[in-house]
Amino acid sequence: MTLAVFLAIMALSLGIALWSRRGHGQQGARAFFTASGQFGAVLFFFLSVGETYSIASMLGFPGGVYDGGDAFVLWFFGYILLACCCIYFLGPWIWRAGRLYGSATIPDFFRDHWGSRPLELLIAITSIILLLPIGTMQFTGLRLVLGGLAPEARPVLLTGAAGLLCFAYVVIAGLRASAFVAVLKDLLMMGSILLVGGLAIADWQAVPAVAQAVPAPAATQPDMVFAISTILLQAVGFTMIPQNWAFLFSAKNPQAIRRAQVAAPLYMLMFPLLMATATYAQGHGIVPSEPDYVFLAVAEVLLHPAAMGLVMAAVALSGLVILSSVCLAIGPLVTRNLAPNLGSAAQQRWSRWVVAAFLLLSLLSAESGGTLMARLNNLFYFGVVQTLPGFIAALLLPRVPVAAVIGGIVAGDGLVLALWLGNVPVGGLNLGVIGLAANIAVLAGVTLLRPRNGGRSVVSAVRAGEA
Amino acid sequence: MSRLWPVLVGLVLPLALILASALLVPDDAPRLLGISLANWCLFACAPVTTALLAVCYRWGPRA
Repeated sequence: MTLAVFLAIMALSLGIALWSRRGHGQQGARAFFTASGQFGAVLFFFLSVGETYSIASMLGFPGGVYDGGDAFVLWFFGYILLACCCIYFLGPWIWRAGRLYGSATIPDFFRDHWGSRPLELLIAITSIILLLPIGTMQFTGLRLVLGGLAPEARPVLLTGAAGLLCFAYVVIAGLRASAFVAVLKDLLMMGSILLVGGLAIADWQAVPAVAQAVPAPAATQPDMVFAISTILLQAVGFTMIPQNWAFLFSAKNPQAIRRAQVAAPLYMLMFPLLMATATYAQGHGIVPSEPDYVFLAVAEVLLHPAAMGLVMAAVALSGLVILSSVCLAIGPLVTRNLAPNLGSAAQQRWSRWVVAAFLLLSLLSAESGGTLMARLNNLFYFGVVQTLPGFIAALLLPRVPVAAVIGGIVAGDGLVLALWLGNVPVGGLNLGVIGLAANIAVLAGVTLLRPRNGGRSVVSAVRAGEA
Repeated sequence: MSRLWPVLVGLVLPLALILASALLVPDDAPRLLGISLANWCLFACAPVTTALLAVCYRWGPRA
């Protein structure tokens, strides 16, 4: 029964992806990768929350509470909440910057603003390196869910089928398919969390707590230096994530971005339910096969098998939607930025091969344990945030030369990498903050020594009516 | 000031609320559903932030 419901929802998601392309059969490359200017506030809202809450939110958050206590909740919840505010203020300017130059990716914008191929290559290569682990992380989560669904099947076959489904979303309608499937995913995800969390709360006193098989971790105090620096770094870094630029470009206008971000924090009310689910498991002797399975383990105890199929599908879709949007971010990074001068049709055609290769690499990495990718994943926010000083400079400071932006990114990335590899103690501060400070210092220093002449800022160009 | 207030209301104030929930709530406060009072205050920041952003949207400058 669980499997039948799960498969029916997966088939429905494929049907929705096919339906999403109606009237958009022949899209240009920018429309395919970013659904440029097609989405109003409601669809944009679903796409943005669909991109934010991955399989890690649904499984990893309660798993972390179950396994290690609640010390991480402050920075995890805090940065996502503050990211809504950052997107509210910066998102409209990213949209305008993209509109000004007709950009589909972050490197597109930097290349066109400064007229620099080396800057384009630098940002494209670092973005690809940083995005690679996300695929592995999603497949690792999918493996956990699908293994629970069909324990007797070979895991690689199950994750392979999930990879094919994701590939189908991408090929069928690009970002439009991701957005429409995200609506299904978000409805199922919210419904599942409300159902499982609500039943756990209702059952809290109805069933007496049994002797705890796993003692609940003691309350732990967050390291405030780390928490505050991580909240700030990851909230601003969130605006520079490559696939987030694609979803920002999909908005019909800047007002749609702001309307969606006003509502976005309400979506976070799922976190207390997820946390209650983890503490319910601790108090009621539910022992998952591994900590990240705790939400599904509680669902198995509380739900009818058919409803369990819905929950499994919600978790799987939360991984697949993120996976498809990362595919749509990596595809143009390769076909537009690493290999320029391809026509619109060629970009889409070659992107399919790039996406297929990315999915295969991610799947194999997840199957092999993904140790390297898990380590690289730790660098994600340290790296993505390094384009922020350059973007702010492009918005406001016409005298910043391209050498300053390149020097800043290289210094920021290099310092973070050196500190990370060397395990250098930094007093609990998030390493990305140190890299960002080095980046800004280099950008300011080079600008003072060799200011650019004849440049213009994005703000002045927009005010002059060019976008 | 007229251009700055939305940033204060929509960005600085939510950050201050997040930090206040961690710094001002006593450690030994009772738990509800296994969740500490500090975390309940943190979670309450989400609807408050929506209200603050709605104020910025309604009365602030257009995007």
